[in-house]
Amino acid sequence: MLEIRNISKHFGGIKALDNVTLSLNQNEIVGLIGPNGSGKTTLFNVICGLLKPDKGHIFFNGKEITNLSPEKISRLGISRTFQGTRLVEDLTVIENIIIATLPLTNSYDKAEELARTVINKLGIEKIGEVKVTALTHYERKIVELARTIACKPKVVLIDEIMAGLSEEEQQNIAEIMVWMKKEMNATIFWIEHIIRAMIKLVKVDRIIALESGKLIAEGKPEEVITNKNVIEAYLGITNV
Amino acid sequence: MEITNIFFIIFLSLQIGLIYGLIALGFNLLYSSTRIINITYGDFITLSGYITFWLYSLYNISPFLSLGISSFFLILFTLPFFYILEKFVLSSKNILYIEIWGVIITFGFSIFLQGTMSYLWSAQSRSYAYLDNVIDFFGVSFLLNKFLTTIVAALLIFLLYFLLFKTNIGIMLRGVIQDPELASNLGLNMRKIFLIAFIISSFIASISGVLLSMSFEINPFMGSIYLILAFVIAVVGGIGNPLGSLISGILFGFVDVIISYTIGPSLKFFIIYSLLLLILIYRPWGLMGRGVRYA
Repeated sequence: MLEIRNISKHFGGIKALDNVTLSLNQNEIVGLIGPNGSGKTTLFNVICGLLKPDKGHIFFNGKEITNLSPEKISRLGISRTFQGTRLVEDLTVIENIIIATLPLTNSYDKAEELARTVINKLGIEKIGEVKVTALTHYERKIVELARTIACKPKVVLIDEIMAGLSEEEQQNIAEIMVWMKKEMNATIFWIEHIIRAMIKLVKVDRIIALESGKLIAEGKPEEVITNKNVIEAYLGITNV
Repeated sequence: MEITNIFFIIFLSLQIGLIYGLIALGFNLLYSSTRIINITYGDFITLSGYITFWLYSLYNISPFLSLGISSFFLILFTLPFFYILEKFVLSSKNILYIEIWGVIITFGFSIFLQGTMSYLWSAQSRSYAYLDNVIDFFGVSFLLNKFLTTIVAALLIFLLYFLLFKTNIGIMLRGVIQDPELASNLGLNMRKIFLIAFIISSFIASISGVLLSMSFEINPFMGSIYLILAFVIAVVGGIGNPLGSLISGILFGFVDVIISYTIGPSLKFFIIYSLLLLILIYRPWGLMGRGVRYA
């Protein structure tokens, strides 16, 4: 469904992505792990068009999207959340979701209807009219996820959504992600440092590991987390 | 000071303040959504003033009718202006590039427009008298045209409030103003939103030009003064905050009128720019802007 071929991206002398090749299949959840600075968020930024790669190609359902603008990529069905949450702070919760549904409908009423369906589904209708500046960290994460769901995406890129959440909150988010896979038939590509949430709560289908911009491991979760290269990348040693 | 004088000063401050607020809002809206510092903005105001002046002087067409006629022509003029800026400036992802080349290109347009207006209509100041009879309002005497311009400005502000806060265009514009990268990532049609911002900004400039021409003299170079005022008021109110521009505009209206009545008009701009300096030192994000933390 999403093919990434030989993607490289440099920032000055730093190789943020070095010849990365991977693919995502329809209706799977793939975890993306790696130490800080390994190129995970850069890869997301390249996929959704915020950064142009120096080299390589990206294909979505067979169509090349490498140099398309973020808005065109979003309209094709690739949606994302951001590390640390990114909402329009002057708007209410419902308006933050409407802004994402407007490009789908071009009618305010239909966009609002769609947005309300999503917040009802996620059980956050009570905070619908609240300004997002008044939300808790967890509520902000849910709103961002709701906005992503409202875009009706085929591929969702989720960036460190579990950071700073309690176990109960992580459980709730995990349930939403599993629902997105089952009910929306979405493909989820998920950056996370909390490996337990990936394996125990969401039960990802695969994990891909990056280090210094290079893909160092890929496969079933239990294989990747015991991979020598992955342990070395995270801990700097191979025998613990 | 008599109570009627106080009412008069309040009314006059509101009249000037609402127009200042409008001017700053149009400038702010365009800059914060597109990052184009439109140097031609003041000349749009001048052009609208001239359209109104000539329509009234030659054909006796009411300035209130000119609100529509002038807006139509200015929006028509905005379309090629937008396409040039879109092609050569807005297509860049680099904000610094947009800001610098936006200034250079619109500065060129500004010189061209000022030169053309000066060539066509000479550099002399012009004015016209329309509805300049005195009316009595709760014991305070006003010129009818000033009273009506205040009402039109207030109505337009209400219309803009509705547009920005109650419509899908408003939500998209506010989204783009606050986080253009996010807006683009959500699939918003950035080109369409930029065009809307240009049209709204030109519409506001056009209405402001008509209203100003009803009370003040016009000349080909007056746009520069209003451009600087728009910039100062928008910065003081907070770039990216439409409400901030309006409140800051009203504040400047009061400062303008009170200084003119008490100390004298010669010190007006000294005090206004001192106020800007203080704001830039102690609250650089403006009275109602949101502070930005730099890493």
